[in-house]
Amino acid sequence: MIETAPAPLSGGPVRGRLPGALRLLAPFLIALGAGAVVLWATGRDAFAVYGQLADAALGGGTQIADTLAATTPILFTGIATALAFRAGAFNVGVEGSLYVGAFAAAWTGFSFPHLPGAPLLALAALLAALAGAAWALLPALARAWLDVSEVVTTLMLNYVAILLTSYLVNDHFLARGVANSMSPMIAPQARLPPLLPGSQLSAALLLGLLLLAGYWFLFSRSTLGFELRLVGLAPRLARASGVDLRRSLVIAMLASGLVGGWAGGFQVLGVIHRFVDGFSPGYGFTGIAVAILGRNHPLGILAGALFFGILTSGGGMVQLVSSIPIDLVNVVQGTLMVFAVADLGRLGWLRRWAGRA
Amino acid sequence: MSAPRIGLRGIVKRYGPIVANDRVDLDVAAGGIHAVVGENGAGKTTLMRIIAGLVEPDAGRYELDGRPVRLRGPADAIRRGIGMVHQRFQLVEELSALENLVLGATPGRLRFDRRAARTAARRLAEQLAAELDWEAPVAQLSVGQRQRLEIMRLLYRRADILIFDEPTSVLTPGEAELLFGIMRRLAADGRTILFITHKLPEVFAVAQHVTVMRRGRVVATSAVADTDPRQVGRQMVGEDLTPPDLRPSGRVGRPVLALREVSATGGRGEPRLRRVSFEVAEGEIVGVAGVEGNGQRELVEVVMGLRQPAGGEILLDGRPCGHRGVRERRDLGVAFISEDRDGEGASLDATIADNAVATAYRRPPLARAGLLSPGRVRRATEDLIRRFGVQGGRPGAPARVLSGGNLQRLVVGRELSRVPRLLVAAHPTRGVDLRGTVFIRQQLHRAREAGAAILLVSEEIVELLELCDRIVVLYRGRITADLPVARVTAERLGALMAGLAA
Ligand SMILES: Nc1ncnc2c1ncn2[C@@H]1O[C@H](COP(=O)(O)OP(=O)(O)O)[C@@H](O)[C@H]1O
Ligand SMILES: [Mg+2]
Repeated sequence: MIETAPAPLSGGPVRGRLPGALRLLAPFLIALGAGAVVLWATGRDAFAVYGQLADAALGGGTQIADTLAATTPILFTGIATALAFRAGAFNVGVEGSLYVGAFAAAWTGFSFPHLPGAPLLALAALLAALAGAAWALLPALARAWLDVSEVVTTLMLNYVAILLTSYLVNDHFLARGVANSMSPMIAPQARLPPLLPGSQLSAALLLGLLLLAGYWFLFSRSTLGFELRLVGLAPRLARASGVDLRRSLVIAMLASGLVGGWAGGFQVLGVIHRFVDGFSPGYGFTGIAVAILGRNHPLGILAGALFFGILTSGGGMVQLVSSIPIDLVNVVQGTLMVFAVADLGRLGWLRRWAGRA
Repeated sequence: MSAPRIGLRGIVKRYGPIVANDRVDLDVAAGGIHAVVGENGAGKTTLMRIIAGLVEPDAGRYELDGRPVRLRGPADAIRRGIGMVHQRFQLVEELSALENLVLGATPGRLRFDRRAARTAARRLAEQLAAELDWEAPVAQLSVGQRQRLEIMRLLYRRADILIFDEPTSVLTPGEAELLFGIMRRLAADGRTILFITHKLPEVFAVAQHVTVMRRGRVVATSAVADTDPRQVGRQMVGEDLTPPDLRPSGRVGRPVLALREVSATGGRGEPRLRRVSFEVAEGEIVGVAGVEGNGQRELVEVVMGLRQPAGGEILLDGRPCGHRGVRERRDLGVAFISEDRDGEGASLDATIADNAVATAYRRPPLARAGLLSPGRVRRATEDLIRRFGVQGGRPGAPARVLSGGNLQRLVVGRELSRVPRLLVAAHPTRGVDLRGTVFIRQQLHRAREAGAAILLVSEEIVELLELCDRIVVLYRGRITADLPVARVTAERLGALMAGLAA
């Protein structure tokens, strides 16, 4: 029915027919296996490293809070990316939406210090969403009417967004008395409440989970979601059934950009509390991996975001406490990323093995 | 008597509870065309895949020239000279025809020896008397050309047993004739050909032997000279399939669709439809006869709203609707059975349920206020499966598991689950098995008797004569005849379709 088979990337054929749960889990397991091979090849004990990693990421309340904090922005970018992928739009511009969304939220936060908390937060969220969506508008229109590949346009616009926000913060909204390129702090009442005092974990996580529920609802309970999914999976059938392909494409791209704007906006409102030039370590790009890893499935996206959240927060610690050089951690992370996104359903032997299991 | 080229003894293949091949015995003589017929799900494809080394039987003996063999995959089969042309082609769209020809057995050691490949290609094309642009990417080739390329690929690998799985289901009658010519030529060269089809006239046109399968078993194998279509048809379905009476009752109402001087152009602005005018009324089936490529596709698209007309007027129930989109027309009661079954008609990647509700998902009872009820979608799908006899898959399974005939039943059911104002049906029974064809024609008839106006595009003269009230002939984009069916004979229709004066 609606939620059974997660649509594959850009609507290509579903090749694998692994049973549901295993199909979602398999890429994670394979990714870990591949990472282990890299570790063993360089003479490390993979189990020990993974153990340290798990311990660093999940070993206690603070660690878990940090991991969840690292998970939050990529949960948003993962949802944003999956929204577009499901409708067959390869939006790789979530990073750009994230930057303009973050800037819009920060600007709202420090420009209206006299507004009370709730309206100020709402306004900041609204403007972040608008900015993020606006960033996806041009590629959406270009693809819908001129058949210009959105991959290229959205990718290019990422750099425009990074440079534009950098220019804005450096030349117009630089905070006084700080050395780095950052905007003034947002008003205290514009901050999202922390979930665990002393950690970076904020209510943004809850908003992300709410959004994920909305994502599930959209694609399994609404006619709009059915339409978008049909466009991604079977554009010609959709067209002959009366679906307006252009409209669907534009809706999906705008929704994707909108959520991308929130990804940045809530990172500002919840964690950094100001705009910082170049603040994102590639949340938007990790979102692509999350969407692919999660096969655009709500639970898959959640698992994917957690997976990369654990890697990020645990990986940082492992570098600090063990003798493993940072480059090796990066190599393992890269390996995990590559294997995470590979479509392993194509491997016949894996399918057979899974069928037996 | 010498041993048969292929000999199967007690072949069994099970898929879970389904016995796809049940103790099958089959002898295929060397050098000739051997047809295998049977309804969808009879086990034909499975048996061919066993012969081609793609599937291993659970039990039974497989002999080549009287010697038992055990094939280890398709590569092993091709080494022994056995190759298969599949229902869905196995070509790489981006590569050129030449590259596809030699793929997997490329001449040259390290570098691709293009010249050797070209020489081989030329020789093969000559042998088959088939032209092909060898440098064009496969994506640009027509279906018929792709199929000929597949055949040449097997010949290039020196196959001398060629298996064709429903090769004509994707071809126009003209292309099918071409294929038969090739098959005869190959047989005359001493090659052994296994040929699967649904269409009995094809069996009697090309084959020397025919094997009938039903529910996994071989029911009969006979020399074509010793049997007749009626007997084979009976063996296929296990009973006498009396064709139902599809004659129109003649209660024709007001016009529903009216075309006035409609023109349309192709991709490069070349005219495809020239000032086409005709009407379709309530309770009437109007057939559009013509050989593929004479403007049928454009006509269908213009009527559906998938293509902008270049001129003229299209009226639905008297209201101009040339500017309206597909959705608006569907909301006015237009239904559509596309000729392009796995693209426009249905999606093989989507689930059966998705396909079943692809046009009704916005309406009650499936949806209210933009909210879709998965429970109702499932029930509606199950209902459709039951009412239209779709066999082979549950609602949640991908539509890929359905055979072509069952997929078409699903599409027909979706479009006719409510009686439409206007049904546009393009080649609705192409590639569908006997029983399915009869069923689909019956459904069209029923919709007409319930008051629907039906525009039926078909190349099959029998179908047109059996179903239609009126027939218009489309030739080079023009309507060259518009006749009540009583005044048309098969010969006259054939002549008109070929562009000969009436
Ligand atoms: N790979 C498969 N897995 C499960 N069932 C199959 C498979 N292939 C064929 N079948 C089943 O075996 C039966 C025979 O199928 P097939 O050989 O394709 O019939 P035909 O080609 O005559 O239409 C059908 O019921 C079909 O559903
Ligand atoms: Mg078959």
